[in-house]
Amino acid sequence: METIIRTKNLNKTYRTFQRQPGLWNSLKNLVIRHYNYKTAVSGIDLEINKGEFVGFLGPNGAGKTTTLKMLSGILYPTEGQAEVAGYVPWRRQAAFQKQMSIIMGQKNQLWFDLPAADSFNLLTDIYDLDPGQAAGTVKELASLLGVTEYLNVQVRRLSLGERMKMELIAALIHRPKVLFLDEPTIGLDVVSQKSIRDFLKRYNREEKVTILLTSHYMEDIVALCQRVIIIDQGSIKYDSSLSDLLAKYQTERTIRLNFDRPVQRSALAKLGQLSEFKDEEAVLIVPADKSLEIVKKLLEETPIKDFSFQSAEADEVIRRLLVSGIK
Amino acid sequence: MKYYFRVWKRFFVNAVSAGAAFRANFIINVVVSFAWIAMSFALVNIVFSNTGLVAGWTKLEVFAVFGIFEIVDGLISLFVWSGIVQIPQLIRDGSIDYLVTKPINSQFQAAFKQFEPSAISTFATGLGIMIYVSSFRIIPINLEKELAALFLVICGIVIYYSLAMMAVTLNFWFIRLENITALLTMSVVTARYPLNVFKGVLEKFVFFVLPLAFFATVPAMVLFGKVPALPWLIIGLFLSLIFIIISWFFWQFGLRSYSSASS
Repeated sequence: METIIRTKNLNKTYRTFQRQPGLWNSLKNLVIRHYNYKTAVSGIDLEINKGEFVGFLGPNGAGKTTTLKMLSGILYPTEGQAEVAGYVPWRRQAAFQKQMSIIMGQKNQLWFDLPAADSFNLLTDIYDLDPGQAAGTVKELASLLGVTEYLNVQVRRLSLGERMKMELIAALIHRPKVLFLDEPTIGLDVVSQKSIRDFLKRYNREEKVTILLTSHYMEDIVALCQRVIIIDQGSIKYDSSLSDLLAKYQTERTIRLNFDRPVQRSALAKLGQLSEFKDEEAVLIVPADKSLEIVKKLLEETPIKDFSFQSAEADEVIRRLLVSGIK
Repeated sequence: MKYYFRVWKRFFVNAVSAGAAFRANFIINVVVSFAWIAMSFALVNIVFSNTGLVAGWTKLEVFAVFGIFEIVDGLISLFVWSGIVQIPQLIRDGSIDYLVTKPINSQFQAAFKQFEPSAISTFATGLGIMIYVSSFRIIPINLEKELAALFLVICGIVIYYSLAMMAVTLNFWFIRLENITALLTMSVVTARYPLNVFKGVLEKFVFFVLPLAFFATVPAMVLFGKVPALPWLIIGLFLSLIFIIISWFFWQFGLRSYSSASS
């Protein structure tokens, strides 16, 4: 596999000056300044292969965004090296910038008072694209995202979800090889989240674009990323596939059960922890390593009509990891 | 160059179509530029009611300095000023993040992104004054002098742009320095008067250190043949190159210490 992103000992320390409250202190601060040094990223080593879809997870302030900003060339690192698509990002060579793109869920690059189509025309010129080809790309992406009819509507009149879809088109108009997504679904409703997720999944698969995603929504990570990197306090705490993560940290599984006729509470309670129980329905939490064995037993001993493993489990595992810290 | 012009054309089209505040700005701008001119004319009339010559300038020549200044100021306002004054905001809220990831110079994008059509009134006022002044036939019919003055006007525009750029670049370090553009405006308005009325150190300062004199005074001096053209052409070229280069490096240096707004 071809490595497309590589970093070595990437560090970023912010210097902020400490403000003390009060008028007298404000005056004093003009003369004597106390600086705080905050390490946002410390010693990150990364290797990401072409076409991978990698999720960056971590609490607020963990260093996810700072890492993306260094990889996209917005920020200079304090120390360390990085190479993205063969370039050092912060040298900001045009050849590099034409191969990558970044979307920040909280910032906009589209002109607010104009239809998105006008911004796309501008980007066509900035990236020096063939106008016909760029128009084709816009048309294709807009139809995939279901926003064709809004291309000529002022951006400020669009809903948040439609606007983010336009931002996606803007970021992909030059067909980048590497895409950095910083919370692209923030603040969106469930339907928009899902359609953006579906789009990204398809785009990654079909265009072989390497994508690095940070998100607060576990669903994004679970649905999209084959590989998960957990960052906390500026360094990588975990880096592996999502399935390994689940195998390693998922200690319990939740089974939802439906029965043909009422069953005895005690018949279920002996198999695991009952979190819900009413007549013909129950939710049972069981040790992960015994889950199949227990299902087998249930099938033999109870009048099961239907059963399912609950879907949001990966979320729970990751959430627990973030809360309790990774060992 | 062709590439930059193409992108600029698109900025222009977008800025004009987005210009919702156009009409209100236009009226305000016309009123403001006429008020300025009226005040300046009144002041000059008072000064010249007692004397025929100030620092070697006649009244009409001083009006010509006004005219040249309005032209320079009008062009700056039309093309770059509204972009430049937005830079502190771009730095503060982190919107500059997107600019630096584009394969085109970030300073160019930030400065030329906006276009202020209403500033055409300032430019037109300047032209009007020049036509008025030339109706008295005091401008020598001498193509060399006129071209030299035109070249110096371009130098003045370049210096003006560079100074404004350097001022807003300070915002990379001092995030709350949005008033810097107000300070700049205040210094710039002095450039509408013939700056050789200053003497000694101050004169040297406005000619060579903070070369406001190149916005209008020096082009007018050359136009009216008060000084030989060639040395001033060389000085003008030299200063404008120095200033644009410094502003350029300063911007790059600012971007280096830019820490982006947290999102």
